[in-house]
Amino acid sequence: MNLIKYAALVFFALSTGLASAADASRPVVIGLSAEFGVKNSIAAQSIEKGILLAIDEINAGGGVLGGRKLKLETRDDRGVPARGEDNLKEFAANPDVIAVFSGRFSPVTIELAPLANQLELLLLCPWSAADAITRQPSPNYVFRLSMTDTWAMEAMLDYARSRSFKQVALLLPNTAWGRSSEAAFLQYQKKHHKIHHVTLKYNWGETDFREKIQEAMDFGSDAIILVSNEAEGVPIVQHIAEFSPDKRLPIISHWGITGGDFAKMAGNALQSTDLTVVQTFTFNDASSEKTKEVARNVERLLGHDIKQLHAQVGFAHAYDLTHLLALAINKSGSSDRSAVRDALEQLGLYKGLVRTYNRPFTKSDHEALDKSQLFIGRFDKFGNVQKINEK
Amino acid sequence: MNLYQKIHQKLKTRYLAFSLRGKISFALIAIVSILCGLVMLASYASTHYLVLNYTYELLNSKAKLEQRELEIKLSTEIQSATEFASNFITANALADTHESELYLVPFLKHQNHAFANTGLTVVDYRGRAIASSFQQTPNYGSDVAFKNMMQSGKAQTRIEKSVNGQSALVIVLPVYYRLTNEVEGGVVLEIPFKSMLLQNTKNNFHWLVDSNGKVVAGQQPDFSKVIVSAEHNMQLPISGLTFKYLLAHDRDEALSKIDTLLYGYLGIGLAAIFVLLVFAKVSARYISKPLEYLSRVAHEITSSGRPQSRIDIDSKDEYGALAEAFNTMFARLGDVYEDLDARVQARTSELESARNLLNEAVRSVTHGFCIFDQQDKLLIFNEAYKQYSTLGDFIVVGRSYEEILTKVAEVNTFVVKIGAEDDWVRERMIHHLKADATPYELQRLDGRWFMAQEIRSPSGYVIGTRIEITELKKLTDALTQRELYLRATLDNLPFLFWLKDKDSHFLAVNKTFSDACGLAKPEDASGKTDYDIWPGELAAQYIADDSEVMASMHEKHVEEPMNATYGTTWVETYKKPVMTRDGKVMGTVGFSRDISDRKRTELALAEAELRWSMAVRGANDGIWDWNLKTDKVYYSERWKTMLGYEQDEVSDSPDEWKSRIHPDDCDRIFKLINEHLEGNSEFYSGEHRLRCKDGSYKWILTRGKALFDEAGKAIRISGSHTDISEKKVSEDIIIDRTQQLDAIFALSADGFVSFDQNHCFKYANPAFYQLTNIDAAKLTGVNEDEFSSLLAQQCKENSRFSGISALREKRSIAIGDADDKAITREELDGQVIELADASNRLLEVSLRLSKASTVSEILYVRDVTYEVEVSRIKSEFLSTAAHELRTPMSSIFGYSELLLTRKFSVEQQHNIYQVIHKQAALVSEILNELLDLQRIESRRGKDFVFTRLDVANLIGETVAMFKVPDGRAVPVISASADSCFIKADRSKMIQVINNVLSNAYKYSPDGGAVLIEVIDHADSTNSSFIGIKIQDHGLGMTPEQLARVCERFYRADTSCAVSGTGLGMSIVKEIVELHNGYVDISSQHGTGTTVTLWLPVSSAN
Repeated sequence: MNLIKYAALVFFALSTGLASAADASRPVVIGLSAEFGVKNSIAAQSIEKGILLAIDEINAGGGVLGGRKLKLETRDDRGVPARGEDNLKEFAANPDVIAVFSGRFSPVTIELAPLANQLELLLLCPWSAADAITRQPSPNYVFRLSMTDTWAMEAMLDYARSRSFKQVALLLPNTAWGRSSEAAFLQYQKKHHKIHHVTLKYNWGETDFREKIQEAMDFGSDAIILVSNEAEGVPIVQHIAEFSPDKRLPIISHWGITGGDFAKMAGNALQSTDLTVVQTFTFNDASSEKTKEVARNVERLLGHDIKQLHAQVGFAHAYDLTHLLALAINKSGSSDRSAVRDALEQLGLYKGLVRTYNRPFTKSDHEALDKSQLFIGRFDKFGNVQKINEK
Repeated sequence: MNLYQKIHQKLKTRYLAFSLRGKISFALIAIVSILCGLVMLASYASTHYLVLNYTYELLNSKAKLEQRELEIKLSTEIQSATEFASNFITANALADTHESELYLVPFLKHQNHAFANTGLTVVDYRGRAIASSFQQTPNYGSDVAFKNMMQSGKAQTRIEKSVNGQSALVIVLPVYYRLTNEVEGGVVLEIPFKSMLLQNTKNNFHWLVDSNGKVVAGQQPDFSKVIVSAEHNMQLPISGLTFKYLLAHDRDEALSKIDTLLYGYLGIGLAAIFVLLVFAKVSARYISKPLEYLSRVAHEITSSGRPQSRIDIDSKDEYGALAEAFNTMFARLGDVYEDLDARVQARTSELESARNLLNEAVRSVTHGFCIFDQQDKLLIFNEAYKQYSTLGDFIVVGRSYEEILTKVAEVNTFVVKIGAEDDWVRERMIHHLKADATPYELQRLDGRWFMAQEIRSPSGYVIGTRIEITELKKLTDALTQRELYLRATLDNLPFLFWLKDKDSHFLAVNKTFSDACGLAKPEDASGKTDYDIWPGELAAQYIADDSEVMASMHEKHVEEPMNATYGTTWVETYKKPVMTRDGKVMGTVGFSRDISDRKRTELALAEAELRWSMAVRGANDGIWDWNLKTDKVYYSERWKTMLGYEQDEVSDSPDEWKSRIHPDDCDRIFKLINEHLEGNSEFYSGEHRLRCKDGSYKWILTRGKALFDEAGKAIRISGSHTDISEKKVSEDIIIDRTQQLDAIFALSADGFVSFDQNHCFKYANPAFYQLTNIDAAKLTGVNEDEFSSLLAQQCKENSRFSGISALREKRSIAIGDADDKAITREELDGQVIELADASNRLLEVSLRLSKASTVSEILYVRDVTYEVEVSRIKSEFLSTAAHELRTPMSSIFGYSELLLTRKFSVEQQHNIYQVIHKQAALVSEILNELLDLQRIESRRGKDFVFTRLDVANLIGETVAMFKVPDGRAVPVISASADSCFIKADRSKMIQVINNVLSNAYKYSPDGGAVLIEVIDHADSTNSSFIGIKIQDHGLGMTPEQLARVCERFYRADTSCAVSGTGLGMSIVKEIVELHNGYVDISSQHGTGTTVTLWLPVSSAN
């Protein structure tokens, strides 16, 4: 028996050695399954740019595992969960793929997460905010460097309270994201009884929100808490701008609307509405050495100014998450998915673009950011979000 | 012997035992029975057919109904599925695959489906179910319809084995994902065929067949046992799928009733035949008995020939009545026979007497009379006929007419051309057979004339009469003779003669008439009307005349024009009614003659008269006629109205005219008339004014001519007065306009020369003579070329006038070239010539072509000396200014280049900088002064602030500010004791004095005092000006320099020893002149210059 064990061990060692020898020349692949095909959305492209820039930096610094290059492979899920799942399965079948980045849409990611866990494939989430995404059974293969709906709702409602809004209308999508947000709101309400609400649900792709806005007004709402993407956000802002200025409800929006070039799509209506949006990161507010370095690299790699980069959170989160992944790969010393997963939970200090991470992930906490990262902002003239002055 | 033979034998025996009557009845009954059987069979067959047909139709309509119902249900189902597919919730479910079941499944399961077991499933892009109404979630991933839908993006329909293994209709509808606007999933509607159809019953069957004839739903029964409906096509919405719906009904079931009916009818039919047979046998016996008796009596009557028998049947029934009727009929017949015999006898005797009467009548006729029957045989004739025919006893009844004629010809008693006997017979035969009562004249050889006439009676008899007409013949010949004489008389009449009947048809005309109207002979006119002869209008007139004459019964005499080809002819016409003896109008007679010559003379006279009266009445001129013997004047109506009088307001006195002549015109006019009356002029004509009724005067053109007697004494003057007031007014306007134009041209500074249509000189305005110095006398009557050479002589050699024709040519080339481009003024401009005389004038000569009738062209001469000079000065100024600026600029450039290329000591550098600075200052100064000058010029003093200034103060202030060059004494001011004031702009005046003072210092480098003196009221003529005199004792100027001192950039010093821009004095002059003052400069070379600025004095208030 001992002999057999030994032989098996030797064989295992040899085979791994051979495998790694063979692997040495092969790139380590990072997958990205995101909503490239969704019209007007630039979030996927922004995430891709963030990963590409990070990969560029890492590969320039010698790659991972002592010389293996990182490589990005992208697949379009068109914002459809079923496609996302198929993409994930295809990625899982490729042994070179170490991890897969998900896109913006919570409804997609929330269905990828249990599948990833089941496939034992790392799913890195740089945007989707539904709380449930990272709540997977151990060993949990899902990691997020983004906000959660709970934090977002808390930040939005804190801001609403700071403006003395007592009555809000929740405008939510009829999806996992909407339900996640609603749950977060109800959680918040338990702590703050004085905030009243009405929930208005819409289906993806609806274009006429006049009735819902009227309903919100009839209910006596002081503001709309909007959970939507830019596709719905634009008509909502335009509908509200149709009212006389004293009747226009302020909108406090979840960040889904920043997934496209919202300022350009909404046009003049944006100027006429009081729209604030919850955000984690913007180049406008950061002026650290890191930010400047990234800005330079963006200009070098993408050939444009950082101000022309919209959906900046996607970029920044993906950038940091790629670096964290590279650290974990190197830390684990292998391209084995479960080893890298373990390593991710063991990372130390890392100075990133969004923040400085100290143990970004632990066994129990797969969120790299926390609520303190969140702020409320408005769109500036470049279409980027600018932190509002808190008084 | 079998049974059949036995029956046959028995039947045969029985049949032969029947009487004839019995045989016939038996045969008839047998035939009728067979026929009835056949009819029954046919009716059974047709009823059978009808029932089948009816059932088929019923099935068809029912099938149609059911098919429609199925179609509607299907389309409703598909419609609601389509709506579901396009619902936001469905699209949303694609983004919410797992949790969407929560709201989708209940929604799916609670759909109301038209068909049982209908399934509705929402699938993702690979056909995997997201939510389904089926218990067992299906997968459509491999479904062809689903794949097609995903590929095409359009709904698809297919028949497929469903999940349960049953055949079903699968409809796949696309679901568009809102984020991408592409198909990302589908809705699958699955309807089992089984639930589409009604359940089959014992007799009714339903089933669906696809386009290939394959049964897709229901059960197809055995076709031999059922009646099948037609195929009803069922088109499914969305796809091109077509089904056929069929219905069937059990055939035996449909026909069972008709069979029962048949058996019933057969039984009834047989019973009826049996009853009929029995009845026939009994009734035949009853009917035939009396008939037998009747036939016996009838036989008796026929054999006896007379109906004497009687039928004695005493029964009261129909037979008894029939026997009674027969008996009555026999009695009546006997009576009729007797009556008929009596009538026949009466008619026969009547006929006999009529024939005798006819024969007597015929015999009594004195003329020959005969009747031929239809076969042309002589039937009746009288004695006269016999005599006429000269054939005696040859004439007998029964002789044919042709025989008679042949005999006549043979005996030769009638005048018949020898040898032409056959023709004569034929001719007579034709006449006889025609028998249309045409008279035919015959002459017998004895000289007697007969007229033969034949008439055919309606029944075809030819009735002939032969009447002797010898006496009549003689009378006619005499009449003809008389007519000839009459005709000759009429034909030789010199005028047109005609006779017409009551309807205006010509009866006779004479030769003159026929010649006049172009007829060949007079006879041609008879029967014609005037319309046939004369033109329509004329004919109508003539016929109207005829009617008038006949109605009035009086003759009519007219003179009327008649158009002939050679002109109008006048004719005189008499028309008279022709009466019968009893006074009735029969027609008209008329004659007419040409009276054109007489008429022409009359018309000429009338026309002459008319013209005179027209002239008097209609002319615009007033006509007057002064009889000198009676001293009376005839004034025409116009003469009176011209002066505003009514017809009766003016008498016939000559004073009416004389007294109204304007006093100023009297002598002149009377002198004119007297001269004419003395015979010095053929007629007179003159203009004078006549007073109107309202007191105003009118200009009148009077023309007159006197009539003289043999002694040469005037006896009558007549003439006309024409109103020429308007003409006079227009003349005045023309004179006025001419004067205006004359004044304009006379005063014009530009010269104009006009040429008439023959291109001869016509007129030149004074400016032309003045500009060109050409003697006016030389130009009279010259033509264009002579004019051109005269003008050319006045020019300098190098800028001679090229001539008018050259200008015209140049102009026409310019216009000719300019087909499509605008003609510029430069192209039309003429030539600039320079005069040779002392004035050195530059004249622009251009030609303008005129469209006026009397002027062909205008030569336009303009003095451009000044303009040319101005432009010369401008360019000169520009070049001078540039030159002035270039000098310092080249210094600056040179020195700065030195500084850049070489190294100098600090001191050298300093010097160079100084030079550059100095030169730059100069450039700046020049530019400032230029701008100053330009501003002053362009503003023309509008920005000056005129205030009342004390001159002494002004000078004091200026001198105080003036920076005297180093080592020089300040100016000496000798002001007058009185303070004097000018109205001027303070700052500008300071600038002026400053400029003059600085010049005074600059141009007296060797020193010498500079004096300033105020000259008040220098002389009496200039008392309103105050002079500021500034005198230096410096270099002074030569007269040439003095003349140019105020020119821009002119500097008396050319050696550059004295700095300056050369603009100072220009500015001085400009400013002073804008103050309405002037500058006086006097200078003596070597002794100094005095500049006096004269400015208008400002009055105390």
